[in-house]
Amino acid sequence: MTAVSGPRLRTAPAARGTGNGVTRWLGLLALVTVAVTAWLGLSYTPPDATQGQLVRLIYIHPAAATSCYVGFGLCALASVAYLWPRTRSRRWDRLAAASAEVGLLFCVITLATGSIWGRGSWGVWWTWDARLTLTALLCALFIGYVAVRRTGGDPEVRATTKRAARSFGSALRETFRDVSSEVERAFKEPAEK
Amino acid sequence: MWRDAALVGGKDLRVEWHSRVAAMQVAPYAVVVLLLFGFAFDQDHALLTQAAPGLFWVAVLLSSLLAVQRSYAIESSDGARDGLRLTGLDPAGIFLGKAAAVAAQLLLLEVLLGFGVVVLFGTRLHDPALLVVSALAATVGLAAAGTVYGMVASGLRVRETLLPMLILPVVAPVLLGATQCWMAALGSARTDGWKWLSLLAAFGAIYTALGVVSFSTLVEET
Repeated sequence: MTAVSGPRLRTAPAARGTGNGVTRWLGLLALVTVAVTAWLGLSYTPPDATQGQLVRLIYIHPAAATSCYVGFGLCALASVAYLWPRTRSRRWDRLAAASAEVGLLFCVITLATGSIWGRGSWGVWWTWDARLTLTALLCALFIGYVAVRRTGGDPEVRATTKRAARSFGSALRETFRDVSSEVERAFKEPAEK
Repeated sequence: MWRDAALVGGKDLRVEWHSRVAAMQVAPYAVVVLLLFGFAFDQDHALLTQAAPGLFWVAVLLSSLLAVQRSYAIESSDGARDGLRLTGLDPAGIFLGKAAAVAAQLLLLEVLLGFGVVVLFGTRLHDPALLVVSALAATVGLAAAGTVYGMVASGLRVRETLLPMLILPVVAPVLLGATQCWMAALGSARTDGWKWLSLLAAFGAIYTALGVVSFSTLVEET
């Protein structure tokens, strides 16, 4: 075997991953705290006097809902930062994409745990309550968002159009927030026949 | 801007007029959807009359997807989109023209479906003014939102399946508001329809404004 002469071909450096010391420690810490929380929630704490075992869902549900809103909020902020010419940077775009995915995961968890809890305490899997319905719509919006992001294409182009799509979503949410009480009333008091 | 809008809108409507796709495919599709609703409710007349406003708007929503898809399909062949980009027309004008053409087709479709609802479901008219005004406002919202998202999806490989996923959740307020307005207008429930009209008007105004502002970016980058 003879060695290849000439300058060595520069191959792309092997993917080094995105982790560093801090994120590795954070991940480890997260694993430990999740385990502790699971132990606390499932065996250490007693069942609730009125709700029984159902109360254990409350250890997950609000936390998941908060994470979902934080993720979607971050996505909106990062999207605005990307669209704003002065702060345009791919970092914002990547942050928006990542937080949308995380938010979507927690949104699904929120809906699932809420539905199980509702079945146990209200006797139904789903009620057409305004907040529930809007959360489901939000989930659908972000499924669309993530789907658009996964279609590939030039990242720069993709980012701009999707940021635009994203800001429409936010605008819709704002519209919704304004009429939310109206919608809520409509759902709560079905129109008199 | 207005001149460009008239040019693009006129072009789209002429294409539809000559190809007859909207008339021969989208409109029959909408009527078939109405018929299927009748089967789904087991021809229960009382139930159908009561649910007519919601069913009507679901049928319009589903048809609007086809109309939007069609509106961008005519741009995708023979590199027509590049041509449109190179004409130097004002992007806001392109948006308004395309949205207006979609809205015009939807309005015709709504008239047809309206007859369908009256004939098939046996509804009665209570407040014609509210009926017409809310239909106009809802159509503007549907056409504007549809045109914006149609443009977002038009450059992508999987646009046929992606478009419904993008549009349907977004136009949920239109379905909600228009159904409430029509329930009041058809007298099937005593809701204050005019209050819901403001939601429709706000939705239409917001999406028209966003489309006008953002369409230059969307046209360039998809």
